[in-house]
Amino acid sequence: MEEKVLSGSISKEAQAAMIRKERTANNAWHKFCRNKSAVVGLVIVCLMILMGVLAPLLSPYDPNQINVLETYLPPFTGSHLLGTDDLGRDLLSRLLYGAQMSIVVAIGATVLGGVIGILLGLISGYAGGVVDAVIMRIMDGMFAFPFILLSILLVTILGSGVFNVILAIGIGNVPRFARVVRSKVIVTKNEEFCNAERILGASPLRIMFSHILPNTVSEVVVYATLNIGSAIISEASLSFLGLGILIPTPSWGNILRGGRGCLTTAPHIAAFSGLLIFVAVIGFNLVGDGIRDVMDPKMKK
Amino acid sequence: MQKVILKRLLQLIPTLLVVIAFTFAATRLIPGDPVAAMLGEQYDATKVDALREELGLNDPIPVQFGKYFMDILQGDFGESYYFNTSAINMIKARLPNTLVLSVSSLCIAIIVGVLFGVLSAKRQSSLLDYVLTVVSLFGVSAPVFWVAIMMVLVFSVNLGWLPSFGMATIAQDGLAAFLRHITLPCACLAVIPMGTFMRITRSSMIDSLGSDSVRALRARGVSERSIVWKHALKNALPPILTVVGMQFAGCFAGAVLTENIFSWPGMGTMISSAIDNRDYSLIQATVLVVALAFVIINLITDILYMVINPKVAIDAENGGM
Repeated sequence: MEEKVLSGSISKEAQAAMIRKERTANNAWHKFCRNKSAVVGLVIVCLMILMGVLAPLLSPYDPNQINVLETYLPPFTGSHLLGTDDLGRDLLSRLLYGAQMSIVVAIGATVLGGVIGILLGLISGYAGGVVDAVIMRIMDGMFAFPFILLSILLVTILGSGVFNVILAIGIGNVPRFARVVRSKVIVTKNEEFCNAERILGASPLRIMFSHILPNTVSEVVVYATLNIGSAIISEASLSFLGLGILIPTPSWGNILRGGRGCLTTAPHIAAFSGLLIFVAVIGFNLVGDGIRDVMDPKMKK
Repeated sequence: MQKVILKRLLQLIPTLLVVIAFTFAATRLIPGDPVAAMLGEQYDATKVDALREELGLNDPIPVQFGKYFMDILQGDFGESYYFNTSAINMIKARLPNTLVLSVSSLCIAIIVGVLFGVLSAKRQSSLLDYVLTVVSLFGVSAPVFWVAIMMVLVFSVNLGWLPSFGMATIAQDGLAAFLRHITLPCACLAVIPMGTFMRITRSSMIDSLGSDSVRALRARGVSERSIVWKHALKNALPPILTVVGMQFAGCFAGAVLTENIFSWPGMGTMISSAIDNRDYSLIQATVLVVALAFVIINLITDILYMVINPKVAIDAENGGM
C-alpha cells in the first residue's frame, strides 16, 4: 500500500533511486564501510598482508645477509632505512619477512583451531547427553590452562618451527571455538526448520552440516577475526621466549627478543618490531569489531 | 540455587581429572631425559639405571599416572629433581610474589578501567569518549612484553627513574624500594585488563544510563553525580564483575611473560627455568597449581554471578545451561 502512495507522488527514477539507497543501506559491505574504525582496521590488515606477500619484492636486502662492518646502524641513515641489528642484517627486510611469518602462523593456527573446534562444538551441541558431557569436560580441562602456559607446554613437547607453532597455538584455540559454536548449535537445533528437516527424514549429518553450520557463520567469522589478533600475540610471545620461531628465520617475536638484548645500543630494533605487532593486532581487532556490528548488532557487548 | 551450585561443583571433578591427566601426559611427552639433565657431567649407565628405578621412571605409564594421582590427592606434588626440594615448597615460596604482582595490577586495572569507562559513557560521543575509546583499544591490543620493554627503555634506560629488574620486599628493603621495583611490572600487567574493563564498563554504563530507572531518578531531581556514580554504576556492575575472574586469571598468566622480562622471582620465572632444566615434577606442579587456581577462580566467578543475578541460576535449574 505504501508503494502505491509513493508511486503516485514521485517519479519512477526517484523511486528507483530510493530503492537503491535502501539496498545500499542494508548491504553488509556498505554498513561495514560506514564504520570508520573498521575501515581503518581493514586498511591495516591489508597493508600487513601486502607486506608479507610482497616481502621478497619489497625487501631491499636479503633478510639473513650478515655484514659485520655495519652492526647496530641507527634508522634513517645511509642505505638501511630502519637500520641494522647485531649482525648487521637489514632490519626492514627482516621485519617484512617477519610479517609473512606472523600471517602464516596466525591464520594457520586460527584455521586449524577453528576447524577442529567447530567440528567438536557441532557434534557436542547436536548430540547432547554423554557425548556433549565428555567433549565439553575435556574442553573445560584444556580451558583451565592459561593460554600462554598451554602453548608453552605444547611447543616444548612438539619442538620449535613454523608447523609446530601453528599446531601448538591452534590446539590452544580449539576450546574457545568449540564453546562458541556449541552454544549457537544448541539454540539452532530446536528451531522449527530443523524440526521440519528431521520430520522430512534428513540425516543428522545433513542437518548438522547443511542447516545448522551455516547458522553459526556470523559467530565464527567474528570470533576468528578477533582470534587472528591474539594468535599474532601468541606467536610473538612464544618466539620472544625463545620457544617459537627460532633465529635466523625472522619473526616479529624473535626480532623483539634480539632487540631486548641491546636496548641501550640499538633501541630501534625492539621499538619497530613491537610496534608492528601492536598495530597488526589493533587492525584485526578493529575489523573483528566492525564485522560483529554488521553481522549482529545484538552481539555487541 | 544450591542445586545449581552443587551441579557446578560436580562438573568440576571431571574437569580436574582432565587437567591432571593433561599435565601428566604433557610432562612425559617433553623431549629430553630428565635423568640425563639431572646427572649432567656425571652421566654413566649404571647410575642412570639406578636413578630411573628410584624415581619410578621405569614403571609402565599407567602405574606412573596412578602413583602421580594418589600423590596429588595427598597433597604431594613431587620433588624438584633440579633443586632437590619438594615442588610444593618451591611453589609456596614463589606464589606470594606472583600474587602480589597480579592482584595489585588487577586492582589498578579495575580502578582506572571503571573510572575511565564511566567517564566515557557519561559523555558519550564527546572528544573525551573518543580519546578514551582509542586508549582502551590500545590497551586490549598491546603485547605485554613489548609494553614492558618500552617502559624499561623509557623509565630505566633513558630517564633512570626506576629499576628494570628484580624485586624488593617491604620487610627487608622498605616500602619505597618495594614500590620502586613493583611499579613497572605492575603497570605493564595492568594495561590489558584496564582496556577490557574500560570497554565493558562503557557499554554497560550506556545501557544503564538509558534505562527507565535512571530517567525516573532524573525526573525526581536526583543530582547527576549521584545518578551516575551511585545508581547507574550499581546497575552496570554485573557484567563488569563477571570479567574480574577471567581478568585475574589473565593477569596470572600474563605474569609468566612480565616476570621473565623484569626477573621478578615468581611462578613465571620459575616455570621457564623449570622447562630449561627439564625439571618434570616442578613443571607438572606449577602448571597444575596454576590450572587449579584458574578452575577455582572461574567457579567463584560463576557462583558470584548467580548470587548477583538470580535469573541465571533459575535458567540453569530449568536446564538452560
